[in-house]
Amino acid sequence: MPLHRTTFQAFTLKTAKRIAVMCAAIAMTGQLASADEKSTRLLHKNQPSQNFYGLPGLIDMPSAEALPDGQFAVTLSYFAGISRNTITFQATPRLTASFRYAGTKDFNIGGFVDYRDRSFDIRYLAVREKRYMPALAVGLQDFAGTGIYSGEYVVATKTFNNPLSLPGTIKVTAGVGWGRLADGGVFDPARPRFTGGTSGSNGGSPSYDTWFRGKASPFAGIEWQVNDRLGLKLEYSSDTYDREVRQGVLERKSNVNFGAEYQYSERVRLGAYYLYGSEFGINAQIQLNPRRALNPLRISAPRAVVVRPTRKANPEAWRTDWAQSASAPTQLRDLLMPELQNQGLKLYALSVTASSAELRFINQRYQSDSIAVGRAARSLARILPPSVETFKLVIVQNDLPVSLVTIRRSDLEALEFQPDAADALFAVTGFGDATPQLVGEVRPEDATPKFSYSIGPYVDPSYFDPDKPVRADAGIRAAASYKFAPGWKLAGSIKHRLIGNIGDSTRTSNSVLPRVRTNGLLYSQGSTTRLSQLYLSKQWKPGNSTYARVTAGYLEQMFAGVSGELLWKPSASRLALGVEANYVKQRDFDGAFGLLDYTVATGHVSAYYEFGNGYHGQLDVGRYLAGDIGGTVTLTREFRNGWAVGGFFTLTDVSSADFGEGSFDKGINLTIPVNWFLGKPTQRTISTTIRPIQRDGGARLIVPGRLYEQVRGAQKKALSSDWARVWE
Amino acid sequence: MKHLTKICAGLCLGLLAACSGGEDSSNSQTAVLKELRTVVKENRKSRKAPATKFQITRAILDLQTVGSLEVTVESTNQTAYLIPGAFRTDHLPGKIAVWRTITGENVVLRDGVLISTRGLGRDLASSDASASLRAIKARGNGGGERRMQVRNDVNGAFDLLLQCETAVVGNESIDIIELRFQTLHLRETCQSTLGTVRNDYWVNQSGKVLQSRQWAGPDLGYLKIRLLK
Repeated sequence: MPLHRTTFQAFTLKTAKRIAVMCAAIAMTGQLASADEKSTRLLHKNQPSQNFYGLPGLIDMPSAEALPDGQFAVTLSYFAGISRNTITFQATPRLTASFRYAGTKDFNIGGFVDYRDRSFDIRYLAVREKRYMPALAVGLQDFAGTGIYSGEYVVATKTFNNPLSLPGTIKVTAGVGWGRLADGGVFDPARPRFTGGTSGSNGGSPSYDTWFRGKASPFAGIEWQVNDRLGLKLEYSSDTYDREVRQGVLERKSNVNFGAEYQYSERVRLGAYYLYGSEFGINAQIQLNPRRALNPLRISAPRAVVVRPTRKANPEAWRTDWAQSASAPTQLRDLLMPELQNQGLKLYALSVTASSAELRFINQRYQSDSIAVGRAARSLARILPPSVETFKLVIVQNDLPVSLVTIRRSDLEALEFQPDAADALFAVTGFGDATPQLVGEVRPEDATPKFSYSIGPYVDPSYFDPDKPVRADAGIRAAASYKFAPGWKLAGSIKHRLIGNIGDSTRTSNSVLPRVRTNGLLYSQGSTTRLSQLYLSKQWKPGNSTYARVTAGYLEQMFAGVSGELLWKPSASRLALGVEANYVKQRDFDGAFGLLDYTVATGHVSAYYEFGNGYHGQLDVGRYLAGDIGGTVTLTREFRNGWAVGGFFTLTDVSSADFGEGSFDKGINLTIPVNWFLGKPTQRTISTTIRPIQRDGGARLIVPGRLYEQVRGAQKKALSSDWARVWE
Repeated sequence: MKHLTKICAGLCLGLLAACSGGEDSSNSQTAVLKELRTVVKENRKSRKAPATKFQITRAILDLQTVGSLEVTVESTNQTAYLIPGAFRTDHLPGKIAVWRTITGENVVLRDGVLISTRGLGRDLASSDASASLRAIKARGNGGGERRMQVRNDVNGAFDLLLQCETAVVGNESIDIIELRFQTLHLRETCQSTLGTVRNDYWVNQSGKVLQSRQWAGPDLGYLKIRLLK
């Protein structure tokens, strides 16, 4: 089995979790929500508790409940040497999805003493609870793994408030389970043995041939939420733990489990239980909702829009002869620059006439570009002579003038304190594409070159090694970039490892494909100091709605070469199309400038589509690093504050046998905006990609500065969904 | 485990040593850590030196050349003294006054009725004050619909529709920093899907709101506002 390596963009999930716990601890000192705050606050009363599998449920059994839409639950549970760590996400109001990493101590199966496995679950809320109708849900547990937890269920849950004059709420759950959740478990002879779909014994594919097959057993339970803090649970479990009992992991003396849970804070719930008549168990549940920040964003108020005197009151002020002066644009630029700087914006280019102005600027502070647009407009209203009526605002991303927002100055003056100020301004604002060049522009004298650097610690984690589930390297990372001309960038970074144990793994690659990703261990062992990246890139706009990039150099840890990309994305379009072609050579393991013999031409044609309501899809079709041909489907749920949760899978012409464990490439992407934790405006994000296993099939090149994400944040769709912030 | 502890210790050391510069907004671990460090530092500083409540007197107010508004956020019991930022009229009734603190918080009133807050977090983005203003102007019973837009954590704002009735509580004399005023106490009771909220206004003879307690949304809660000068 190879080393299971994950790729990381910026930060680690573990660190993110740690921050989350820390911030949750800070948040706990705040008061719990009062009764009239239901609509915006997550009342813990409304959020179901989790079971040992990290899904809404009883103790070891599921219920038919769904989490509030968009909610995350992180659950850590332990009993009888069995630990399950689960992240659950309420992907849609009815669809719950989980990823789990579970371990069983002294299991002694499959050649492992301690058995560890990853699994995915999904649950669909088929019927919502009504006055007399219980909620009804269908679930698939471990539906694509190697199968030890694989089971299916149909379950109903009904809530009763103050039943029989008892305090609190009682939820009654009953259901039927198959596989793991049935007498005889997954090894019931009547249930087809798990074969991993069509994938031999590699796991990773939906095991639909076993779903709802074999014996079915009933389960049931009661959850009594006595008051805001205390909950009691009692269940009849249908899981017989046959294999565990046989292997001596636990003694199963009873079908009945019971326990108590304590709601420590809005986000944290702790439980203690007695399971199967022989074992004590514990469970810690943390729930977060992207819609509810740990610290609400507080942005220093802008100054009120400066209103011009009327033309009648001061005709002198409205004269237009200033525009004749050759020095007017530079004078206005010099007045605007400090004004914009105060707002966290940087002037990129300015062009003015007597009646209109186009300001091209860089948003250096706010996650939401709508705030930047609003503040840029206020700055123009403060500085420009009264005769300038039309404000054209262009957000510039890394020298790409992205989209054009046109606001009339008189609207800005009239609408600021309207009851529906944001909607009113939106109705009279124009959105379009920015032209590649601005006619008659003046730029700051120090426009280029720009030098940036950072030196600091880094942590690279590696998960799911069966010998040691969490490994990490840490050390110092230095990065620098130099923009010597518009659109040009020379950038690089070096890492020096001070400590770590990724290289201690003994699990070298067993891949039969070109080892384009599974040589991670060799790279870790190769050298303590390595050049992570060193590249030169140029990006520009060939047309109003097209974007281009060329990058060459040491693009990532494992590959060096050239990469070219062209993207078509009109500001108002939900659809974007892109094409990327790369020619790369594998880098030497020592992390220096050397290259190995493996060379590949890889590239993709991509379609991106915004479905609305924050759902986003991407389809990439092309040739991957190992020379395999296929496509990647990515589906992402995005929240307007920058949270994004996505899942992806890649199918190529590599057979699942050749691919190895997991059968095909798949994973989860998670992005969390830092201002969600801090409550201060910042554009930084923490993002990570978790793969259950990293193999060589369906592997894509990592290229710094792909165009799509640079471009679309400042376009009409993103601006309109954040528009409520334009006056902030 | 030992290894991980060492890594954590290294990270903490690194947190102290991290530095970056230049104009490019980088998204490295260093940059994130640096930001986290700033916030932790600020929090520690504010815990060490909690804001002492400033004892304001009429003599101090008399020395000021500009107006002064005292605003207390009830839920946190934090009080701030605001100075005028801008005055404005538009096509709706009531004069708009933007009151601001030096630290970047704003409270916007339309003839004394709260229409917006800024810089407080989960702010009142905007609000329609017409019905309240009518009732205040009529010095008593009246009412109507009010719409509020309250900022949420996903870069949006949600609409709240309130059905409000204003009634006279009675004549009351109030003290505002060593001065006594005869006022009419009006209470506006509003029903919404979130429950009932009550706004209180103490209005002088000429119809000016001298003191009030107004609801700014489900998170901010009530603001106590006194016009000091």
